[in-house]
Amino acid sequence: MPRRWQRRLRYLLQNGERARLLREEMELHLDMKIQELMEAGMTESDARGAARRQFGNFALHQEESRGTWIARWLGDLIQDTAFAARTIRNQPGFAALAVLSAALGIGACSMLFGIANFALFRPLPVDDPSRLASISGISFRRGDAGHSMSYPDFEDLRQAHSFQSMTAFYQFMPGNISSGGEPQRYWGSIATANYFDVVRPAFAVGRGFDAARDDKAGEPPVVVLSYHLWRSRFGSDPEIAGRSIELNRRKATVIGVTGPGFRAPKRCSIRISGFPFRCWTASLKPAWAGTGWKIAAVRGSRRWADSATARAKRLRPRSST
Amino acid sequence: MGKNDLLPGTLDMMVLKALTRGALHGYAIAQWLKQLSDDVLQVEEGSLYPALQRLELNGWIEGKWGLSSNNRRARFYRLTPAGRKTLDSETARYRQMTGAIARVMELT
Repeated sequence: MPRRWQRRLRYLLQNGERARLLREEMELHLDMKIQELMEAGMTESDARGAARRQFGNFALHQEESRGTWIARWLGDLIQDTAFAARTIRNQPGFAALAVLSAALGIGACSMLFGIANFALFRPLPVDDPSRLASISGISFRRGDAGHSMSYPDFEDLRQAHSFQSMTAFYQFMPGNISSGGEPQRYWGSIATANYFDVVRPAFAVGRGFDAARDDKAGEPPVVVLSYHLWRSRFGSDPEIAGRSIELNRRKATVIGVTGPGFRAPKRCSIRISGFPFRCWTASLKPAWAGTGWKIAAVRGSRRWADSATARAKRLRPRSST
Repeated sequence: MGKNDLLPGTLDMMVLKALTRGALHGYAIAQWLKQLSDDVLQVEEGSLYPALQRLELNGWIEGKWGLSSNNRRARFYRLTPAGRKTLDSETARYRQMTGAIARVMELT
């Protein structure tokens, strides 16, 4: 019955207005009553009293009238709910289908939110994340950001602009780890020696790279493991720092483990989000230096970090794909 | 609430009955009830308004603002077709009920 619903909706929407009109209606009634009694010979004050007595409690009646609408609404709600429950029982297949499609819809939405929340809103678990930004190359052809740049570009950038500090890392370097169980391939990244000084994550074990101590000629390269890799592959070994592992069939020395939740800064437009790398290796070998350095992470003032992307666009004549 | 209270449900029925004569405002309905019942039915006049709200919400009557005989804004209620149907069935039920009560009471 659409008309019944329309009426009910109007009642609910015009609640205050209705209460006022009802009051007007009741006051008119009282006035007419008083007039009638006065015509029968009563004085005005007597008539007023008598009319009031006969009318009863003004506010109470008003409340009762309002209560009518609300009770009605509640009663209908209960009835509709019971009807819905009966329908569901009678057609369980259809109900299951409806529930399933609703569940899928809700699930998809919450998953998307989860991703967006993770990628866009949650700050990185690093020291002072608001001052960290990333720079990436822009494609001339397609005009979009997030492209890699060459290591010389990074060097030019570092010399041309006085950032507080600046580091570079190469994303998606595969790393085969063959110690501590079956050989397995992990995604890692290679970074300049000051990487952890710039990004400043927490460490669960040991320390980050140190240009003065690591990566000396003749010594094996050093590695920092992710928290997850440390737990799953090395059984949370507290003595891991200083241990030698086999990485890409070469010896490498573990010097530290990042804190839980840390992910390497990735490309972004405003904030920095992370990608779950499992290991990092330090050594900046010439073999790596020429090719596509994905991203440079920089630290500057907060205001600078906010406008970093805009700035990067302007200063990157050579840093295109 | 005193001994002159109406039987439950009968006020609604009588209001509907009153409106078969045409559109009336609340005060006129109360007057009509009082006069016809020779003052036996002492409706607490205020309880008429909750009843009117209830009837309107059910779609049995329809209220429209108009001017009363002494030129004041008053709400006139009119019976709707649904209300007329309800009145008919209520009247039939009422007749059945009072008839049954009468038969029981005359037994001795």
